[in-house]
Amino acid sequence: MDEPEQNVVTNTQLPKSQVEMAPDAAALDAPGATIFDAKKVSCYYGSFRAVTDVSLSIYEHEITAFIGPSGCGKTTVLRTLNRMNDLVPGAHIDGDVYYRGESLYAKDVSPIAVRRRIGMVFQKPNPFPKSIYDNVAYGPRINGIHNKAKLNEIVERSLRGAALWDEVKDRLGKSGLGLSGGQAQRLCIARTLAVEPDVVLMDEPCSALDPIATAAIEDLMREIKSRYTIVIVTHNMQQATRVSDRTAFYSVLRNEESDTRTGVLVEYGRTQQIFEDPHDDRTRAYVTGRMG
Amino acid sequence: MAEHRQDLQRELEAIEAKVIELFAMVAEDLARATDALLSGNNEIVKVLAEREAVIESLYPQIEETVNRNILLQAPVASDLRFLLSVLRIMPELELSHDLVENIARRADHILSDDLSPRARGIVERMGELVADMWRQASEAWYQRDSSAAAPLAERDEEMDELHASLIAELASGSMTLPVAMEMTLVARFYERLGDHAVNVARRVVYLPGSLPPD
Repeated sequence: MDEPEQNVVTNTQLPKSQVEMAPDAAALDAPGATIFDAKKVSCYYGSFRAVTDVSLSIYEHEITAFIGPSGCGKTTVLRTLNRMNDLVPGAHIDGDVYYRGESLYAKDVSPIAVRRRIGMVFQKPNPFPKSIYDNVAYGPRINGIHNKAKLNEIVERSLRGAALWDEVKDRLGKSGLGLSGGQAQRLCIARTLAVEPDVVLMDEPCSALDPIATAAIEDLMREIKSRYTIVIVTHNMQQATRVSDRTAFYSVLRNEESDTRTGVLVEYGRTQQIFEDPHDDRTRAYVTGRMG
Repeated sequence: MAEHRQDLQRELEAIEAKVIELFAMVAEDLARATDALLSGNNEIVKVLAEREAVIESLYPQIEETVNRNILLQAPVASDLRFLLSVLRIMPELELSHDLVENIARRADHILSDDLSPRARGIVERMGELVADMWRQASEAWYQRDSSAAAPLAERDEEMDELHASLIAELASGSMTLPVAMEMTLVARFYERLGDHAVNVARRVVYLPGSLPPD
């Protein structure tokens, strides 16, 4: 599928050498398969329109960051990508989200099946009050896997995938609630990976973590992106620049007459372009910290 | 919409003001240096030495402010591009003023009568051309006009031709050897000043058009 127009870097301001110097620019300009294709998505909570007309494509094996001020709808959009908003009474969307070419919101699509393929990690680490082992084995068991050897293998692979195995392998039977914040978040990532998802959505996964735990999660994201596609909502712009391939900047549009506000997608492009040469003044104001 | 980070904004504006000051010194002093050389009026040498002292104090100030803001303010986009651009042109400005001072200093050793009429004419033209190139480069920076680089590069070709002509004249034996030796250096200084003007104008391309805001 062709890249949407807003992804095309028409960076006439930069000298040619700057563009040539970016080593992975060519690779990024030719993205992998389109995983998500949001088409004119508006999200409503009851009659409140939280987000208006978002269209963007998200590509395989990339990390896509959503940034923007509070109330800009970035989390809402993230939650439309695995139908998590279905759990909110009164929430609905206009437009459509295509996942690997198929409508996520078609009548015959089961939201449970969607969430199995498209996992989510939340802001606050939320291990179940169970053992570390059972936290990770929870999803596979629900999916009908009860073979002990098979479960052992999944638990180890997932914990290794989440870079937590070495720290917990001797205490798999201990409660997941006894872990540090960073470990608990990696446990939640392991729990997400255990059901072998295609996509991992992360909603401010590091906002409750210290810098070292944050660095561990960021390393992990870079490590697993060759196997998964990751979308992350973050308030930390440095995090977006460190880990993401593309960045979508959302903002709040105020309608003075009706005294309402709604989130809009302002600009979407390669992360380097967004932070080096944002095309929209609102993006520039936000990334340089000028906007209030 | 509230404008945050006013402190950073003020720092950037202060840096810009100092950079403009440096530009002005190079462009102005260039014309004076050529005058001094051709008129033999070495009064200007003292003035330029004082300017050099000002630049020597400005340079580390600007550098320190840029470093501090890069380190502590985590600038991105237009802010970072401005700061990086300043770091890149500062050495050009400092070197250029050095060259200007070096030209002026020749007024101490060379009497204008020592030059052949042809050499004198070429030097005069070189001085005019390069002073004009520097005015253009300063204007390009100030106006964030990245289109200035190409015409400047063209004018630099004229500069190179003048340089070659002057060298040929010096080699023709129409002047004494000490004068020819000194003038070879002067020719080189002008030629380098032209190159630096082009370099500076090329750097403008990375400057954000929106900086500094009004």
